[in-house]
Amino acid sequence: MKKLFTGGRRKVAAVMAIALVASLSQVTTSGASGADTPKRGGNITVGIFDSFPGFCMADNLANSALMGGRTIYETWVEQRSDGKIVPYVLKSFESSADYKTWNLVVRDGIKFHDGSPVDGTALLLNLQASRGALYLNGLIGKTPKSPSSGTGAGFSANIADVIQTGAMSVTVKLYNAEANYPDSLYASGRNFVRSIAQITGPTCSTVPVGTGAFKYVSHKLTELVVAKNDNYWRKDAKGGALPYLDGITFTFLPDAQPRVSGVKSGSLAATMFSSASEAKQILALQKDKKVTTISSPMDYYPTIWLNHKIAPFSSKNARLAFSHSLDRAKWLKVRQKGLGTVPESIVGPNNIMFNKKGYAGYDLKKAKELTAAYTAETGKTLEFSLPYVSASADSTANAQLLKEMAEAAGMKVNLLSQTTAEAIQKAFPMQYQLLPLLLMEGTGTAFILPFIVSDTSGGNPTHFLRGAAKLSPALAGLQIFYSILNISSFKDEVSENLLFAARAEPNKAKAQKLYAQATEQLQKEAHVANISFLQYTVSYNKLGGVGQLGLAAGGPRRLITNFGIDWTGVWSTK
Amino acid sequence: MLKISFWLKRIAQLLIVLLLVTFGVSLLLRLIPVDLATVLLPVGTENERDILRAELGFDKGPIGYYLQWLGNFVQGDFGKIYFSGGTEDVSAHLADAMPRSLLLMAYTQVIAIAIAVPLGVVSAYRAGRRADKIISNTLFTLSSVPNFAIALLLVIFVGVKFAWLPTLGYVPLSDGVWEHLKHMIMPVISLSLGLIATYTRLLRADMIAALREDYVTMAASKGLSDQRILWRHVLRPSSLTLLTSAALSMGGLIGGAIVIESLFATYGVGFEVFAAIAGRQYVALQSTVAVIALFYVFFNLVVDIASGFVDPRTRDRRVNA
Amino acid sequence: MRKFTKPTWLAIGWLSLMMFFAIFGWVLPFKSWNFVYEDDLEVGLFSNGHILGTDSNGYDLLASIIAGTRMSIFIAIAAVGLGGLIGSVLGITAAYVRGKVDTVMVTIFNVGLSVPNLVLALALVSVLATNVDINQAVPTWRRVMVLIMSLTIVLIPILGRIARGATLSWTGREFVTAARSMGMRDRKIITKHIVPNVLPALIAVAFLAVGVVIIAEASLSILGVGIPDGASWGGMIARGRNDLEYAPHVLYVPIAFLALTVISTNHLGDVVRAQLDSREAKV
Repeated sequence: MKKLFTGGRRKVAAVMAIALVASLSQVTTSGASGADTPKRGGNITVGIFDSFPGFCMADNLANSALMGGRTIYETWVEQRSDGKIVPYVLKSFESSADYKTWNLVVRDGIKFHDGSPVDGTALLLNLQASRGALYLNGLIGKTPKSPSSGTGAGFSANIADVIQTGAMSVTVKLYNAEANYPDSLYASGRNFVRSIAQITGPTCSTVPVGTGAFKYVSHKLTELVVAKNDNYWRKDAKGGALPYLDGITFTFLPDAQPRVSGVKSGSLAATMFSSASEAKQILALQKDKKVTTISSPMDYYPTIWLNHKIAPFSSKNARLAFSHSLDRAKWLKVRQKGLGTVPESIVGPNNIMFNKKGYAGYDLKKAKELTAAYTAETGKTLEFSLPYVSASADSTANAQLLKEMAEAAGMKVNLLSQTTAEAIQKAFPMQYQLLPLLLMEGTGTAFILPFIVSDTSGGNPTHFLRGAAKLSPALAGLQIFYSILNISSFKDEVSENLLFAARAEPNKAKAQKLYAQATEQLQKEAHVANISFLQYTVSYNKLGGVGQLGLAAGGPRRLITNFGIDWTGVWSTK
Repeated sequence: MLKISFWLKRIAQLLIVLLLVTFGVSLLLRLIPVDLATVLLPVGTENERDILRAELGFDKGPIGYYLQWLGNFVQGDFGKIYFSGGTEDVSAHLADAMPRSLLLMAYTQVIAIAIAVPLGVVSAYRAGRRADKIISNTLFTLSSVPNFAIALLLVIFVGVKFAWLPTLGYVPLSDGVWEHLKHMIMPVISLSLGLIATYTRLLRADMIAALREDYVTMAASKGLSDQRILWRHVLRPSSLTLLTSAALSMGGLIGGAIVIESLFATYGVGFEVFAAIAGRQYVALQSTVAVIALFYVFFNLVVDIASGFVDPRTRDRRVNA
Repeated sequence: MRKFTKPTWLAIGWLSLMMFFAIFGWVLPFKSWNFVYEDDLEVGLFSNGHILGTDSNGYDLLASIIAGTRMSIFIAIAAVGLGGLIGSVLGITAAYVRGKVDTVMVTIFNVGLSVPNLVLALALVSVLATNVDINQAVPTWRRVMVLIMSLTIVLIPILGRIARGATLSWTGREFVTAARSMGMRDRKIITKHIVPNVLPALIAVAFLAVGVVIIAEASLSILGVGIPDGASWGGMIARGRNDLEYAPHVLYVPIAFLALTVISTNHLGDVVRAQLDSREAKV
């Protein structure tokens, strides 16, 4: 989980932000549009704000670095622009009536970059690797073995067993019913299709082998170079080969200014921004005639995680006081230049969990009362240290404004200067008193629920890692990953039961009701706080075909997400 | 004979400096009040950390650790950078970053000296007159503006408004000389403006002093032309301070151009230092600083040798000064 | 004493103003430097009572500049004062005593000089400002101390070398030899004959060093290891560097103050040196 030098809170966020979303509509385009006839060839450079720690299961690529990773890797399923999950490298998926057994079938004729076929065995081993079963193999001396799955274990902890049922098919058995299991299989575009040789070999982290339109050439922490895959399985509308570009270099540029000047001057063909701190740049680029700027929906919900294990946020008074002290309207105006909306729930209005009830919004009077109540309760001033990344101008500005708001309500805030590497290291498991970090996102819950329940396996006593941990002490580290994702470290049985019940419920209206009740409970207890929602944008210069290539199963792909755009159908008009 | 022992002594001195620098950095790392193995392997098991401690010598005392590091270093093993995806060799990072920094430094020095010498000669020759005043005041003002401010302004005007030059990145020489130079121009200008001012002032002062010397008066009385006196008899001895100053700034340009390297995404050695510190990669930091010191010492030696050719009389005078 | 020229008076005036801001800035009736004026984001010069405008987060620039003066000037003077004192003691002793002491000192200076200033300061600050208890923020005063200490360590070899060089050129002079032959105590020779002659050269360099330290502090801020909880000019430049295109005054204002201050100190350094040269010419 350690990364070398990244800049900014959003990058901290991003390291863990394994994104998943259904984000409908609201996609906006501005500026000039490119020509419509594809042009072949050309190498381009793309500016990103995250670095490349590696490519194995445990190396979580952050948002804009994930865009680079996804030129090499594809996922078993994909998300349509209407939010529905559809098969992609899979040909089909279907569930049993009780939603506890899922049959997955692999699409025929796809090959990895190393020439090996994508088949049922590859699917089986990928699923086993992501839940930690192959890592366990290695520890108890069985083959095949593979490196640690890292946080991936948390996202697949509901899987009880995986069985290969044919040359191209696999059956997944779940502990608890999951009506939207393909959502978890998608894992926000991060559950990659990796070659067997990669996941069981020694170069898992350093040489990615996928099925994507581009092949890996080289990488450093600050750069990823990919080149055209001549045997790519998809074709364009006219039956022509894909991709159009010869190669892409993704370059790490943590500051916004070099990315802005890069795309305007043409040194970069495209670059990505986050509205969390770069709203000004986004607004200016949207008006710029030379470049085209496309924006994702506001479906990313940064959270201020309050550590329940230590003072002061072990106290409900302290948590509520803090949440009430956050002047969201002021934040929107100052830090986001009005780009977005004032949060009225811990998730955004497009999310199925959205519920205004019980939300501790801005109320300075209440905040002051609760701060006083905390002092009466404990005999101490409500005081805490706020970590921020001092190398980032934006993180510093965010921290200063947060401090000002909390201190207006009578709290005492110490700014804790950290490097990104330190922040990540101390967040899992959580050692800070609180930490602003973007983890939750989307319209569904596959990428929300793991962060707000105490154990993503549903507390299942027969989970294989639980038993195995007794055999090998090394596995204890992996075992924590299926409860570590809740970095606030709270256990609330009321909300947890509602969330698991909702996940099992196939009827959307009924599920929504259960989710809303869970949200209300979480908000009443102020288990987590939040101050803003955000979106991602991509600005490009002299490119064509952005967002025009649909999905293999039909229907349009989402134009832009936290992991940017799809590069398969893009060409250079230079 | 005297010559050989002189150079041996000089080299021994430099070696001692190198050993002390690396030992100092090594000691500094041991002062950090956190466990280094935990910093490098935040999610590893205690067993893995023990192996790492033994591998890097963290389990030994400061001197034992230093000797182990030094042994590896002289064999070309500069240690590793640790992150979730495994490790990378520091030597590979430096092999990538060093050419960038060396070229950046070389261009900056060449440009700075090429501009400073004529300016210095003119302002010394016309000391106190209008040309001297204009040159001195302009350079004086420029040298007071920090180089990152100049860099930021260049990006906005030359890069974006007029779009004459690419604003970021590094292109190796092998990808085309012009393409390479285009990416280097703005960083080089940002770094060289301050140096031009420094060099010009030094040269001007030394030349004014030299112009007062007896041998210059004598040369003039023999009827040699001003041009000849200025360039042959005054500039040559006067360029010593300039050379020494240039040598002193070498290390700074290799490792200290951190801000400029970040602004232009040139990612040279300075960025490696910054990345090592920001990412708590202490082994990488130690080796990188050692390499920078090595280059610094090397360039000083080169200047010593060069100054022997420029003006043999002054060698003994300046070596210990 | 020559009469001061107009630029010299300007430099003195500017530095006096900065000193005034540094010492009395907090009693001046300006806006608060750490208050967010949410209705005046990124406003230009002379708008809504913000004489120098505000930055993109709504902080008043003049107030930040004045608060920053305190930090930047304090750090610079402290570091140069300490570095100059230690450096000159070491340098003068080495040059006067010569022999082994001198060799050791020269080696130590060379060790310090062989690591680039910024690298040394960066390494020192990041190592010295680490706390064991992670939820215990390193207090601002301690960071300031660490910063001063690091910059002092950087300055010692630079100033020490100059002090040594200057001393060497005086120890050979007739009056020193004469004093020695008359049996004058070493300490007395140093305080009576060496120091008064070396001091002007050191003061000239100290003025230059103040400028160098102000810029170094700014560079460290840009790299994220400056003073986090408070204003300094470098911190303002660091925060404003992404605003260059949209609100250039946010960057121009601190750069202008920084540049004018550095120009002033450099100029005064030159003036002192010029006086020194003319005096030496008379010797």
